[in-house]
Amino acid sequence: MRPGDMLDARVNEALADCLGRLDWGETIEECLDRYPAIAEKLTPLLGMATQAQAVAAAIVPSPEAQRAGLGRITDAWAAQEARRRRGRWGALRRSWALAAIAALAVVFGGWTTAAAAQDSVPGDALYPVKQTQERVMLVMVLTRSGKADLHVQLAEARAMETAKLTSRGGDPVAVDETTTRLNEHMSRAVALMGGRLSTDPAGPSGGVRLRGPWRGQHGPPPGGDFSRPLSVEELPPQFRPDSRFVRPWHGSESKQRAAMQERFYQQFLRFQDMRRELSGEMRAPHGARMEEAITRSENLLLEAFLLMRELEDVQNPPE
Amino acid sequence: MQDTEVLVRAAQEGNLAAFGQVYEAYYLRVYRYAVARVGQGAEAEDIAQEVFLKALNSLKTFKFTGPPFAAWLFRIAHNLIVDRARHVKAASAATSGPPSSLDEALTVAGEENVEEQALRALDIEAMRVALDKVTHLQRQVVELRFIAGLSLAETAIVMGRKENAVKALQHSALGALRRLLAPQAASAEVAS
Repeated sequence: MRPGDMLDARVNEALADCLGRLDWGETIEECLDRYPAIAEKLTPLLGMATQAQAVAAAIVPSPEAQRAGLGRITDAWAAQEARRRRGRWGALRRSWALAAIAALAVVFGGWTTAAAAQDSVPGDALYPVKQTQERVMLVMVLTRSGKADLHVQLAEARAMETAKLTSRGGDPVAVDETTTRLNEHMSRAVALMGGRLSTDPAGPSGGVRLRGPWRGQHGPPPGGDFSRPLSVEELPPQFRPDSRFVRPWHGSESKQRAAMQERFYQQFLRFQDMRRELSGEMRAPHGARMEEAITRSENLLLEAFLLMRELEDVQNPPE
Repeated sequence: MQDTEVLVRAAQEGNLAAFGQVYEAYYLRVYRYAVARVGQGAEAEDIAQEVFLKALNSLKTFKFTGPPFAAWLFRIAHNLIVDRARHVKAASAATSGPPSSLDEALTVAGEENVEEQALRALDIEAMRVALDKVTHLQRQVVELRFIAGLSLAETAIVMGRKENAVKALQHSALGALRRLLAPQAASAEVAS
């Protein structure tokens, strides 16, 4: 071996050693002290390596893309599981609830983590687990009505998270995102039932507006302000499950719709609680923004209910 | 974050949440590698996602007695990018030179001020230009070792070369980059 080759070999080894040490937190200077004879050759190489690593550190993926990737993985996983299970059980029909439970039990092996994740809110370490569980459940539920019901439940979960975030004096961005997702779930639930919520971005209350029966049959909303918070007393009477104005639901979707009405109503009461909390001593920073988010959700909830009622009238007209 | 082996074993046994953690642990590095190879953000994002879908499909075939998980994962990434490049080449023979818009998909990280961002962008552009000028193997070692952050052993496995060869390659690659990015300083060193 020529002297030049020997020197190169020594630098190769020392460079590899120093790069490894830098990964473990050693400084360039500390490493150069180990190789004083070739420090002059190592210095620019280590500087260049550091520069390349700095360029890498500037490459940051969008969080949306990262989340979307996780969604694709979850879907692929659930599809694999569904194929495997269909193969094993043949044509056995399962209710959405059974499918959801199976998804949790089989796909997530670890019940403890899955259960603990249920109480998490955005920002918690276990929240991604919760999101994954929900995606799996949505894939595993096969019927439209089952999916609609699940979306309502997920909307409910988002509302609970909003309440928790609010009571913690939470991050307004997280609250905003959570209520946006609440609205998305609600829109999907209504769409699966055959309806469509209005989402006119120019509309009142930041893109969600009431329409149809509220305007046409009941006049303008209280105070004529679509974005104004509603009180229980101001709700259209048919919204309240205990009201004497309630017309029973009919047809094959009757149980489903009755359950959804109950959930809508309970959810509305939760929003009221959240609003009270905001206006009390526990008022969080940026409370106005949170209140606005709650109002948007309330209005959407009401619209979803009214649309469901419209569908009922079309499909099962009153005698 | 739990040990990769624990997570991968759990995922192999059917724990999706564990695979989700593996995804969280490796996504950034895979994405950076994809950006270095193909540039454009949307394509790099798609490749990063595809890598994990392929990994998921082949997860049961992964053996802990073989190459480390990171090397296995980046081998998937490498093959995927090569396959895509073949398809692109077949579809459009008009392209020339390696696709390398490293900066196109960059989001400048952190809370830097405008001046710092501009300086960082210049660094990135300079690095992009320099990587276009080094040899294919030098470029590959920089992408795997310094952009994706693989260890020397992992880089050697992905490149299908011995560790000593990778040591020599990273030496020559850094030297070549140095000559391209700081030619005056490099020539002064040679003269001395």
